[in-house]
Amino acid sequence: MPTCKECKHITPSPTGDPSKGICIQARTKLPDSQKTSTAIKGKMISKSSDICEFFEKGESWKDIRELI
Amino acid sequence: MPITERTARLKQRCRYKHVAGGEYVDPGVKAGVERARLITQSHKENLGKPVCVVRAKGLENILLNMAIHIQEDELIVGANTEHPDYFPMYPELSYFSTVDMVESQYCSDKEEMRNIAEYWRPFTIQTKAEKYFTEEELGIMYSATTVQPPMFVTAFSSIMPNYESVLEDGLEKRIKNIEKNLEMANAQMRKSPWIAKDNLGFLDKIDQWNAMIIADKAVIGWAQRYSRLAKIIAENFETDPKRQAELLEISDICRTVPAQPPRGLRDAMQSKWFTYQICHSIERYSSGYGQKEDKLLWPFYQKSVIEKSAQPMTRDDAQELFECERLKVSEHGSTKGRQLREFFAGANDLFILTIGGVNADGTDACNECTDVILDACESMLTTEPSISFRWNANGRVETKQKVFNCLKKGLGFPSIKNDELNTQQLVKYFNVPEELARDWALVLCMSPGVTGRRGTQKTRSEGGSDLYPAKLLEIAMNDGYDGFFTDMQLGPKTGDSTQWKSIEDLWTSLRAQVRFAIDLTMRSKDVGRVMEFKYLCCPFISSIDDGCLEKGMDANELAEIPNPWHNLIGGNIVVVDSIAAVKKLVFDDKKYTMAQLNDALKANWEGYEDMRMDFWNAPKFGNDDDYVDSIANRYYNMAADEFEKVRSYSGTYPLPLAQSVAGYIVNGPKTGATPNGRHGGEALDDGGISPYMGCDHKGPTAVLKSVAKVDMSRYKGILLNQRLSPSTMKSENGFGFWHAYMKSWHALGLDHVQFNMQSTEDLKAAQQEPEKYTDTYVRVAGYSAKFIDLARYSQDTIIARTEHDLSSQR
Repeated sequence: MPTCKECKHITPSPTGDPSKGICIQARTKLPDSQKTSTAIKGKMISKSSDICEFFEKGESWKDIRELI
Repeated sequence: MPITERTARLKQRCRYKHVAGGEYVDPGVKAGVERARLITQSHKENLGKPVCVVRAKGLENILLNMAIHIQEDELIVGANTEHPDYFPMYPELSYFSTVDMVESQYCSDKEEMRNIAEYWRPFTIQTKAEKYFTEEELGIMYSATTVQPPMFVTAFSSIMPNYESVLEDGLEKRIKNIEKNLEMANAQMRKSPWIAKDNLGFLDKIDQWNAMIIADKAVIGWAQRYSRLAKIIAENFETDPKRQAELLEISDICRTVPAQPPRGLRDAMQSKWFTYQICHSIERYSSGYGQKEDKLLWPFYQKSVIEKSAQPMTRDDAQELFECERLKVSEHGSTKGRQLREFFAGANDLFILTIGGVNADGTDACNECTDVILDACESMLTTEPSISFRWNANGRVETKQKVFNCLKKGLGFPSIKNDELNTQQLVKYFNVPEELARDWALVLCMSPGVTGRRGTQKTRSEGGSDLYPAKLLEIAMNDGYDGFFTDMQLGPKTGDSTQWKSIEDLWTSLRAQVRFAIDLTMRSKDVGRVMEFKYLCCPFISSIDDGCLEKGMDANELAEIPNPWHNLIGGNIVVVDSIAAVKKLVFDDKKYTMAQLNDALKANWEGYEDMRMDFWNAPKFGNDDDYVDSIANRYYNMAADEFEKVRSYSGTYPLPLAQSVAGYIVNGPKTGATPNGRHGGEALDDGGISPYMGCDHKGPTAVLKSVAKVDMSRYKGILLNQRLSPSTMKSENGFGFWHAYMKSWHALGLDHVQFNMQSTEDLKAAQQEPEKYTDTYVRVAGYSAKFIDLARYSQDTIIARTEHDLSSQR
């Protein structure tokens, strides 16, 4: 069973704690009143957690443009 | 354009090491294993000796055995790794940071580095310090949500090296002085009759002095290795006679410095660079490029360029040398932990040098060396090192024109600091004599500290670390709980906000969360400080500080001139605008209840768009509106009041410093919806007091007036970003408009300002066709970055800033 560790939406934890990561999958387009276009709802996760329906196998660092 | 073909070639092949999204942008960047391997080998061989001696022997093993290299065309030599594509690793600092790097794509020697990381695990300052905190406290700090994780896990530090003592004395003289201290100590200890209390203190001092000698000799030995290498290349491999002569000159320079005082500018630049490498990245990792460069190098500039009495050169030669320095910095491999790599979106590290201001006697410090540094900045067009210019009312206009020329190129720096205000801060809060205070330079992006032979800042546990205000407001409205990002109790239980009766209840709850965050982080800094001097002694850094040398003390332990500060990172104006909106719409106009607001925020405004627009359209900071500006003044004073209750390691209280680095970007996705009408996951406000993106509608002067209502004197610094219309700035009257604006800024007593001068059209075009905009730079926070290297989310925050036109300022 794959875990969050294998998902391309997961970045490593801010401290480098090997057990934790940040999910940056949840993105929404902002209304015109705002001056930026996208909100990213981050979530701290355990890398050993079971995957969710948004799982995509990969590594986030391969596309820096989609990071924060 | 670079001033010579050499620097054009060097720029063309520069191995930049900037990061974005926490990752190195250039795929060629790798983790070098040699430093880690050599310090581990030495640690195993010397375990059991005094810690300072173990540390000195580790430095010695690195410097005398690490592979060294001299690249083609280089005039300044010396690197922190075995290969110019690499950055070093520091397994003695943080276990997490080392493991993060080992398991990343940057580390090729995974098996060896895993063994090294496990060997060091019980010795790291992370392991040593963690036991003084509960699991809950570590969880709060390590989530990097309301506070910055402590130095003992991020491995991040900062320092202002005592370059002056190296340049004035040379290391051989300093070794002799240390040997005299040892002779004196040994003589004292043999006096009759034996008096224990007068003598036992010498035991630690003798260990420290012995360690300093080992370190200084190792540094001289390292420089001699470069001398030999340059000679070997010249005599055996180089065929171009001109380059042969250059290499022999490099050999001569490295044989001379840092062992002896420099003869001219070439020597001084090389000695400064060697010292920088040891203090910032070989003995331990420390961020920054803190120095008052035009003062430091001015005597040698005079000898070489003006008098031509030593190492004679032309002004253009000097500019080439400063261009070379910019490229050495750009190529320097910095090894920040992940949290800081994320926080420096688009940058390599926080390389900031300081110029301008006044001399110790109060006369204008701008000189020809200042001008050449600025000319090299303008001609070379690299984001690093950034420059801070000390704006003094009496500073000469021609230098200010050169500052403007750099800004006009779109570099986003020099950033401008108020010279008089920052000098007085050091005098008033830290009892620095005014003559010494006048020689201040920035330790990192925004924080002034003394320069010179002693008493300079040596570690981030003195000044540094962060609170994240927008998140503190969010948990203040949720009984200290974070249901958005961590699902953790991040602060004290401060009650149900739906029961608030007045805006004072919000202030009370916010103050309690700020109080808790300050105490937790200040304790982590001071615990870290003790771990540093117990387990992470820095004998070389100690040896170049006159105070440490006299007293036989480690640089981490001695706090001769306190300089404590603590950051309020990104989100200050989200807090201010949010309080204003709650006050106006809930408690003044009573249009909504707190229960309705809480429901809307928990729903991330979904289904509440009309209500959100009311909150979005409530009074906003940056428009010279007393309703919200008075809240800003109260907020900044509240934070300063809470910091004033602390007494830190160095005996006084830290001044808050409002800035953002890229925290306003990184912390956006960690912060839920806020009452200013911002969505959960939307970026925070950039800077320390910049209006929220797009919310300043009344022109640049209104922004300055709003900012001026906050008492700057209680702050170590307050960062203000402004975005100016490039067409006006590049017009014939551009300098005139800007100079008038700067005079207003100075007259209002503001601390800081910096500028972006890129048009929205250009930046949007760069997003579409990045290959055409490789030389487009933007000011992110206290540093600049190549726009195309930023992630899209970060790019948008630059475009979103309001573009002001100074020709129509009111």
